[in-house]
Amino acid sequence: MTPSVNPISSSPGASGLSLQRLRKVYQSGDSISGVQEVSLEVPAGEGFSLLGPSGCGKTTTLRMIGGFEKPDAGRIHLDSKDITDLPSQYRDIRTVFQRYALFPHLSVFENVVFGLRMQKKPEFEIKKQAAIFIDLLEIGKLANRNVAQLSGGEQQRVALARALITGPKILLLDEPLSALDLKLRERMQLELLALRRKLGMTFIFVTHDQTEAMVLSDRIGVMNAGLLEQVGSPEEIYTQPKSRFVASFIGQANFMGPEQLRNLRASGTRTPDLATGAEWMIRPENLKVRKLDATLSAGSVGLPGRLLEMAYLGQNRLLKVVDATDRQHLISLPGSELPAVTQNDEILISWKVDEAWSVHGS
Amino acid sequence: MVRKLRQQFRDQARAPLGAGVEKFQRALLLAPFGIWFLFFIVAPMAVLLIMSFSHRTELGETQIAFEWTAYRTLLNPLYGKVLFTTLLFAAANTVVTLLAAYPFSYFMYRCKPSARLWVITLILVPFWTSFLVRILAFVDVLRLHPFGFDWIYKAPGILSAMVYNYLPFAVLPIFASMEKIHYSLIEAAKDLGAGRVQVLTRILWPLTRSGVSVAALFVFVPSLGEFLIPELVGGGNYFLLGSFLQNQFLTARNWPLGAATIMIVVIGTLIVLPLFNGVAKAKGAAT
Amino acid sequence: MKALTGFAILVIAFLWSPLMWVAYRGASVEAFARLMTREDILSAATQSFGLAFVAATLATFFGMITAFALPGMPRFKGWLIETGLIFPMVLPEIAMGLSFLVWYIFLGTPFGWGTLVASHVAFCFSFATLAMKARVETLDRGLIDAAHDLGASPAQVFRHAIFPQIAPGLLASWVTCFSLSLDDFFISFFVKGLSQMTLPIQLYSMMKVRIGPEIYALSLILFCFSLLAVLVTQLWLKSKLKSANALPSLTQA
Repeated sequence: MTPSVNPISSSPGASGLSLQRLRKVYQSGDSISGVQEVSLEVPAGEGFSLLGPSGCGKTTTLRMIGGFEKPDAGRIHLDSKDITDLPSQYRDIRTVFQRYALFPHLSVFENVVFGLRMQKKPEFEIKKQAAIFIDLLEIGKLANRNVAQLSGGEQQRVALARALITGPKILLLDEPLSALDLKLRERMQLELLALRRKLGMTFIFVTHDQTEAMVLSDRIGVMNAGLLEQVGSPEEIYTQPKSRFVASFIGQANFMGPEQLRNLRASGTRTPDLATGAEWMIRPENLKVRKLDATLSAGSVGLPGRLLEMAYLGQNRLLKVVDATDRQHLISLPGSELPAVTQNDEILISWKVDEAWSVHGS
Repeated sequence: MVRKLRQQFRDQARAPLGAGVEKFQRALLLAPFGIWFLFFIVAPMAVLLIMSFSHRTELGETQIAFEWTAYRTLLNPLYGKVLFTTLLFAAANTVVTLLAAYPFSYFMYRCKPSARLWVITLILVPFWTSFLVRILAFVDVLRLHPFGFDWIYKAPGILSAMVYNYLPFAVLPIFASMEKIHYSLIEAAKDLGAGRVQVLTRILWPLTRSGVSVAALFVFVPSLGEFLIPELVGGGNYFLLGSFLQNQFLTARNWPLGAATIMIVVIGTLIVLPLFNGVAKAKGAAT
Repeated sequence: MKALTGFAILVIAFLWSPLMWVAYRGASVEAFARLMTREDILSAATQSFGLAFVAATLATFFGMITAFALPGMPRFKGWLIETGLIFPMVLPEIAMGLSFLVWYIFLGTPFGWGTLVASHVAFCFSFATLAMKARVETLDRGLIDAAHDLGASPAQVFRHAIFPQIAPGLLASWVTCFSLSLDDFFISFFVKGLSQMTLPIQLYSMMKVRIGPEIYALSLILFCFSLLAVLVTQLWLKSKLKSANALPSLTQA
């Protein structure tokens, strides 16, 4: 049954969420934290993640969108309406809190319908909506249970139902899966994805887990020290990171700078110049290990090195190698491939020139 | 034999504490409690109980007997008046104290953690200052006729002195129960449309009810026995239970009557206590 | 929040202004000089502090032992013990004092230091145990296991794995008991011997007769003492918890 609430893009000219130069800083002693400046457009119906390490300002940004923190500067618009000064309950935005914040003294049903009760909706309407969302989130069996008896996954569903039943345009989720164990997390990631697609809603996530961000989002905003370093699709961010930070934060990254490139073997392949202050970034799956005297194919270059360690992970094999400048690199080979090398062998690290991506920054 | 005991003791001493504690070890650990409870709680109460049924001779001595005289005397409306006035003061004290303690606890709850430490200090210092010093101080201030009223030797003076004394006792348990509420609960409620009143009635109150009942218990029952405040602040104008007991035991030397009165208070406490302690447990908030 | 802050300030003012007034009246050379001449007060003070020290130490010790017995107890038994502990805390002090009086007379024990110390330990016992309870419940068994594993004797296990963890509770318990004992009127009043005198009783008799400046000096001293005790405890707790990275709370001590 499709819920009667379908808040999204069917309305023409719906412009989604717009953050303009939001700023909120906290000072404690010598350190400054919070959000320096964030500007962002999230079109209606998108799954967007704010990704970054702890303290980068992603939660503060989310809380400003939700209406729980007042920005020091900047404006927030939802569908062209300025909501910056509106308290949270008057925004068409609902939040699912990190530890769900379910009311422990109320049953699951009462938790779910809380928002409707606050709006003083008539009883029959409450029951009707409750049925829809309880069904949607598959918590029918739990309706009369006490919240404390629920598992993490069940609690999350209740929190989702509670938020969605009020028909918001945007759902904010603060590290929704961090409290769950690995297997459950993987399952819930896909369920959240399906839920969002089904409802056609905008979901904005905050997470520090890059895999989660990549699964759940159409676009990711990587944050660091209060600033958005890059916004793009998971693929863009992975293959074309704008900074060293983004490259390192998402997945593993290997960096080859001028010092390393002095030992480069190019056998006729033309390597593009590296701008000052930049390095080549190559993903582990794009590095290969060859015998030290191997001939390089066209378009490939190589760097002499030594194999430090090798670990088998089922899906892939990880090789830790070190080059002549004592810098370590990580190579990922498919698990089925068994390289003819052993520990401490002198080897050649090779890659295709057009698989290397130039990044700046420290 | 001794060697075996020593070995046993050493083995048990090695066992980590908790669920793995041997029965013997736990019994040993509970020995002080058992001795204390029997010797200092049960025994004196038992003696009082016996005494309440005893007979008072004309000379003021107590003879062990079994009669209901003391209890029957208490049914006399004269004594009822004392009890009633005491209950009234205790109830008024509890109500006013809780009314002041609750918002104050909420203030502490909403304080930033760094500020909160200092607020707790500000509450604790009066709490730990000598009771008599506090009364002395309060009496002195009352003598200055603050706000132009006549406080000393009058009921409002006594009441305010009681509140003054018991306020920190009430704040601590209420705050303890509030502290357990993660602030995101209140944010969630507000996000879903709850106004200030609704947050109070639907979220805050249900979750702090147990703390409030503990606070009520710790204010009401002890204030029944208040004796110093009515005497020093009230100048003896109000004859409350505390003074009554003092009187019976030391002046009138009617120990059975005094004992009977205490017994009634004790039985009342025994009835009420498990209810409060049970409520606290049921709500999942430890006292 | 602003209105709430205003209210809170009112409450603090209400609680503190009488104390400030007393401090003001007691902070004079004359008051202190007169205080020093009062042998009876000084003697009572010495007795009270000594009594409080002994009572707090004993009560904390027994409270610690009892607190260790509590975790892992079957629910009903545990609840019984807890109720048993709470009962005397709730009972009006005068009732407890009188019960002790009657009991000692029944036993025929002479009233003196024995009865006084025993009674003080008795009424502090509940507070001591409950102050330790939370700490003992959240004891990290891992540390204890690690200590055993590395070959520590029971005494060393206690010293290195258990004691540091419960130390804040011990401190809170001791200071609470000390304060309670120092402050006690009713129990002491009924169970003391003729040759004993405690500070609260002394103060009481002074208040009934005549209020001279020395009483304010004494009050000031006691007030400063409490202030110091609370500040030290709170600051010590704060530093401990800073390193443990947890939210400070008296009720968790």
